[in-house]
Amino acid sequence: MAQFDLSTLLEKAPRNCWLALNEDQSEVVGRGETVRDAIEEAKKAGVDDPIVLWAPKEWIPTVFAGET
Amino acid sequence: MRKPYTRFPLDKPHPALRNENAVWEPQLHVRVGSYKHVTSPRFPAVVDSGSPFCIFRAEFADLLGLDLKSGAESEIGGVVAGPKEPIWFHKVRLYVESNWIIDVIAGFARKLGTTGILGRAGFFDNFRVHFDHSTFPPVVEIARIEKTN
Repeated sequence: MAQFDLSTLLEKAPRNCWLALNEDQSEVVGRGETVRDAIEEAKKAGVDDPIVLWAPKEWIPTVFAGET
Repeated sequence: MRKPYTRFPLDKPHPALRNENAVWEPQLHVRVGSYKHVTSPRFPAVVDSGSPFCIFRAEFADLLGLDLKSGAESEIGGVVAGPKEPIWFHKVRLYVESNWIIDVIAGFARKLGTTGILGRAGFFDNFRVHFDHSTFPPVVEIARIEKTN
């Protein structure tokens, strides 16, 4: 079953980099300066189709972008 | 399709969020693909009616082999006044969860504060979107708009 509460997992995970999560989003299986690096680590951990996301330096409330 | 919001951490408890150190966000898993049949890995994208279009981190354009700066260039800024950032637009294929494939013109930006954003042009004009905060956790529900050309 997919995990929807990522707060504990991501709070402890590396920042300012790409992360790769396993299928149910319960584990960080890769990290990297690039998406490719994170995917490679995930593959070495046996996860061929990871979910990737950008982990910011700080987790703060974000109001997203608009066009200027 | 109904999907619970995803809970992300906050480094500081927030007074407007009952001093919780996390926030629930409406996110869907998507992939972007080029017309050369290269697709990105899955990634979370926030469903954001405040964004005029879909925006993804530029690393995905790199991954697809797109020449980022060959796309139409524009600028984006946030609700807090600050420097504008360049953004380049490309036609891509958007894979939404495991259910839908749509063609969109999406922006790619180097300095995006999140992984991806599903905005009005490209996403909201292809899906009816319902945000339901009467449940816990909240859920986002989407249904494809069938278009007759």
